[in-house]
Amino acid sequence: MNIEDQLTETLTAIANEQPQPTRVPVSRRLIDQIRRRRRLKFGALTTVGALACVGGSLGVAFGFPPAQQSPLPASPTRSEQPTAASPRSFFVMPDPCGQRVTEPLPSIGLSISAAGSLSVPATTHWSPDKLFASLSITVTNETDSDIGGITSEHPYVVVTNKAGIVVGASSGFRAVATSLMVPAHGRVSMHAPVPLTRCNRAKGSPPGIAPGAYSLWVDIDVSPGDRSTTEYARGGPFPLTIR
Amino acid sequence: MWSDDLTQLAEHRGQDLRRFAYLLTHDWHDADDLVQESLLRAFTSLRRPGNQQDLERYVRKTMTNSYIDRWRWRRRRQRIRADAPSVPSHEQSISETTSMQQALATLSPRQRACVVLRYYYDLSGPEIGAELGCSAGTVRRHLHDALSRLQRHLAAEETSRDEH
Repeated sequence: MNIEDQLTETLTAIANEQPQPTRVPVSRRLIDQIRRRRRLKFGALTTVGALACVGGSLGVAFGFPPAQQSPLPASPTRSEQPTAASPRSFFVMPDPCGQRVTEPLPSIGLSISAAGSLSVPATTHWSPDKLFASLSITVTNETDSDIGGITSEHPYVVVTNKAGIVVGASSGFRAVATSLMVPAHGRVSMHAPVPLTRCNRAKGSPPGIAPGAYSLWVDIDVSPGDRSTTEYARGGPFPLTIR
Repeated sequence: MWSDDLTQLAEHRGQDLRRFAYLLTHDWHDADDLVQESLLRAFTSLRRPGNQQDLERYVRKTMTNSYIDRWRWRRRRQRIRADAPSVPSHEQSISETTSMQQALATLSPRQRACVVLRYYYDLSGPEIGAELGCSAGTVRRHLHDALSRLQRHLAAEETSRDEH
């Protein structure tokens, strides 16, 4: 048998190895992810920005913070840590995916600590063990509106570049395709400063993030077990220092 | 609407896309990651939806590029790992297939992509060039290099088998 026939036979044998499962899952998470990136890519941000509510006296707007929001706020002390009810840490907006928020986020008790851990307590109207949550962190500074970001879905960490393209993942891309099931009173921790250095793997982006002070924004998507709705919120700015 | 196209594509052609990804990566987990990443990349960039055949070709092209971009370093590690299972020596046909699988693992990502598109999908040189974004001449060179490397690998293996 010549090598070309052998090749065809081998490739056919490989292709016929039974895949399990045979279906390609198209999760709601994947669709949301694409939708968000398309919005970034094709410049519909202004629409979303117009929908954004301004929360509290800090006037945090969805999208990228305007220049006048600098200088960075002082590092919150423990007693000042944002709470779910605090307009400083959260504001509620129409879901950028086109769905309306079913109820204000503070009422379901999401909160992000200054250290960047998300607390999702049990809720009365959603099955507490079937909340899907995904987190992403965006780091911003004054000159470059979006220099990098992290999407974290425990136990994976996925890093996206400026354009929203995944440029690194701690252990596989399936973290993006699937969602984290948050247990009742669950807590998801993100370790922002460590994986941020992975941003330098992005094509064409500056090598790494320059040391300095940045603002950290945390986006949260939460949906019930059936993923019929998605709630979205952005918390921040949290001060972040890259050394 | 792109989301309908995505759902339909995954439903009707998903298995083929997975198979193609598996032919490239030879690992189901990597293949699944590659499919998901490629769907994400392709549908993020998609401006105008085409018919399903065009979409599939587009996703496959994205998949090949993603594989070449991101799997190159991984494949180097796999080469060292030599993860193909050992086979009983009396099973000649199985042995040949396994040798070929091991030999395939020594190809560069671009060579492997060319080989898969040529010998599994039966695409012509210009068609492969269109998929990979290079000229037909480059494809011919990749295929030539790939076949030479495979032949060398198989010959070396045969020699070592004879010695034992």
